[in-house]
Amino acid sequence: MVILITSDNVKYVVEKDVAELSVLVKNMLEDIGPSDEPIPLHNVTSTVFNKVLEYCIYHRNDPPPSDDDEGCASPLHKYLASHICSEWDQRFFDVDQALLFDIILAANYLDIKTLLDDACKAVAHLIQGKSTEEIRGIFNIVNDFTPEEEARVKKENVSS
Amino acid sequence: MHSLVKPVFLDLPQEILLKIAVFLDPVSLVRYALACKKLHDMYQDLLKLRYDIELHINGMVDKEDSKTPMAQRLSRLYDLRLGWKDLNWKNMKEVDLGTYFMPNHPPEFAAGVVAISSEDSLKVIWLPSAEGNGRMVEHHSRSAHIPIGDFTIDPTQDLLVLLNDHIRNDTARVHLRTLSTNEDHPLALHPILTYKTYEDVFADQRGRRRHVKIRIVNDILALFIDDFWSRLLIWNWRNGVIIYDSKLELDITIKNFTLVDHESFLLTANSDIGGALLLYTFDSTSLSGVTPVLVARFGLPPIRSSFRVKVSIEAAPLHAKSPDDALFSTSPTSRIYVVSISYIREEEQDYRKVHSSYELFVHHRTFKKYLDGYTIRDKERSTEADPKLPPLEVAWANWGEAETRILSCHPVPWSRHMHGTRVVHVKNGCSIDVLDFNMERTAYFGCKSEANARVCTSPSIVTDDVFLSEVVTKLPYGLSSMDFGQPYHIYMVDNERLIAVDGFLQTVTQVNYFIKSLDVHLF
Repeated sequence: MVILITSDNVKYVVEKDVAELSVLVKNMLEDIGPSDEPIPLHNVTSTVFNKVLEYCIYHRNDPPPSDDDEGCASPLHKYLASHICSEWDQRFFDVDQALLFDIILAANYLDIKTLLDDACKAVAHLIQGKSTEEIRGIFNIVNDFTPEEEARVKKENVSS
Repeated sequence: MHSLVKPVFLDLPQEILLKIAVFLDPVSLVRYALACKKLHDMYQDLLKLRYDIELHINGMVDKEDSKTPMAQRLSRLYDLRLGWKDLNWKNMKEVDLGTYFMPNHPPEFAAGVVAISSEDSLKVIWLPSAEGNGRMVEHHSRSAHIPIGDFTIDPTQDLLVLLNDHIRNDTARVHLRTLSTNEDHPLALHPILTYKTYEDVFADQRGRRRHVKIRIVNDILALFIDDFWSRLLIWNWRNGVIIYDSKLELDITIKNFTLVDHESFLLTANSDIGGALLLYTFDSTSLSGVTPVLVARFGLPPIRSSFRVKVSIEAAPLHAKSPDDALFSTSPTSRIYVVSISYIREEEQDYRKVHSSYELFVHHRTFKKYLDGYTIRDKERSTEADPKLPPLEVAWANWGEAETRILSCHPVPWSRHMHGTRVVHVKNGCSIDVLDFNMERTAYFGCKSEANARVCTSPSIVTDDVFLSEVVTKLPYGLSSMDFGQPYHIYMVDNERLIAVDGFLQTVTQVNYFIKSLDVHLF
């Protein structure tokens, strides 16, 4: 068992194989050696960590990601399979944007590659098939192009 | 991270914004990139990278000075790849030819142009593409006083090559014409190349069958005459120099040929032990004539002495440049060679009665490896006086299993059913398999189990009385299947089209073929 403490001082007792899905935690455990010292997770709140933990427990027995798994997992081909993997994952990522972004940042900090990929796919899923204007609306992006600039970049990138 | 501050999308780290972009299809990616300056700047680099990767995956090269936005080109590549995977074309355009009699020479197809010869005319059809409807011209032999017999085309050089060797004296003529207007080609120093035939030598040979193959790569024109003794002639068609004429010196077992690039070619030998592929290189810049060097001899599967073998080889035509309306073109190094092999019982007198037929597929990189190796070894020779390098003898056991794939087939008398690494494999008249030997492109077939697309990596094992032992081959390929529900006689393929030729056979005293229409399926 591993003890983890989130930034808002919530203590979690987690099974070692689940905790070690985070490369950050795995490395820290290796560094400190056998010890009962709690590991502080400075950049993750308990709200977000609840979600991260839910994902890690569900996916604890998944085979580790490999780059030569019949070429499917190679980065070159990954974007072609930009579907959310399972129904469970779809439901898992069906959260408000703020939490989704927090999950991404936490996965990035904790170094959980599959969660980071899946969360980024979930964001991509929000963008897929939308117009530029709709994308701006979804993410509150301010259009900072001047009309002339916008016309120019459109011309460069979109066929007439 | 402060939990009280609501994270804003654009405040996500740059690498995250990029990672998200990686999972978008090209159209959504462009729309994403146009949302604001930050995303657009990031996207410029990503787009170039994605486009280069997509070109690489597809074995394509970019068209120089393309005016089409990169995003659109990327999107097209992506569409083509997915379309071919499931043989899911966008639309079908029919080119009606009335009922066109095609006496002997099969249609030529190169760079989006089909040329079909009839008795005294040549129809040249610029096929419809995704953008345009195409066009057609007809050249009549009487207008230029050149009979239309064996011919070939390279639309990217507006070149039509017409062979006239049915003349009474012993000089054959090769006419270099413009494909669009059937006039003397402006880039040819001499619009007619000539060579002496050996009619007198062959006049007495009984049961003689003569086939001619004309191939072009850039300024190289090669003419292979499959005759009692085969003959290969190679010219630089622009300056009219004859680079090589084998005369009657080729081995009597050599019966077929294809160009590998502008300075190497392959011959096939129907030798006793099972046949062989002979890889030659030559100095294409020579102004005085050269003797090609045999680089390597590749043995085909060894056979029992009670059988004979008949081997021929073909690969997709090479273009001098991208076709006019293409956004990109297939790289000359991303090609598959189709070797047709038929086995005939030794005692069988009728050469048409084959025991079994196979197609052997081998990638260009296999031959390139030996050509590059030769160049290196040749440079290492200490002086010019050193003896020439002997050819490498590559026994079947040393290359066949890993570098080829052998599949059983009906013999295809017809050779425009391949483009780049893609080959149409006709199962019966109605249904086809499209094989793609570009594994970068087909690797992701396996990600999802599709009903009609899969990757074949397990070995093919052929057991046949012909062979001394079972023949195992492993070259991987992607496979997509399609049932048209109606029979077609001929299939042709290029990067964006699958052309099914609708026609019928009529047998009176000999088999005559009539073409009704070309059904052009556009991806």
